[in-house]
Amino acid sequence: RQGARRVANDSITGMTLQEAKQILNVTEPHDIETIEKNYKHLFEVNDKAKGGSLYLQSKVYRAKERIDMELQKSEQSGSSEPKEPKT
Amino acid sequence: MSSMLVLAGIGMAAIGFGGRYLAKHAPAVGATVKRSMDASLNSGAFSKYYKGGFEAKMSKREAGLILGVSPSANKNRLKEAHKRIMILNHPDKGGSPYLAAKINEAKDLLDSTGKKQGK
Repeated sequence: RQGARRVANDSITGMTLQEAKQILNVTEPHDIETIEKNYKHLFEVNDKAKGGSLYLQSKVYRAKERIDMELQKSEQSGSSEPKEPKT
Repeated sequence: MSSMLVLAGIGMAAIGFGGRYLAKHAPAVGATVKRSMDASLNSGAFSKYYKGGFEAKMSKREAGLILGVSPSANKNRLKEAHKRIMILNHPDKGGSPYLAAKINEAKDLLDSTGKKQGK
């Protein structure tokens, strides 16, 4: 059931879907285009090599991970890690 | 148990040095090595990224991590760091309002600590 899975994912990742959406500045988790665009931007501006904060970059990474988890329709073996954008 | 971790760390360092050597002398190979290193770092027991969401109630430690400063940084350092991080994450430039709020909250938290301590 979706509700139970969502709650499970919230506690597995330590991040709620709600917070993930806020971090990536999206309202609709299925709006994949906006998510990808925002993720790429936020991930890159917080690059430590460019004076950014690894901590903030981590939250962006984990937010993407959390939303990806939500969008998985079926159980996949292994974890799917968000791709680091090619700089 | 801890010796295993030490060995793993040394092993990773060795791979890291090897990768850097390759990156200097054979850029294409080096880039591939670096990418697979990053990938394996994130899928194995270690991840270079902090886990989880933000703390329910922001601590000074978290505030310092957000701004990239020590929680006991002086006011000038704090101001510079806040400005730098905020410029990178400004909502008007495609940044996230939620992250901007966290950045401001971090500064306010460390600012108030600084004031209590005096000069």
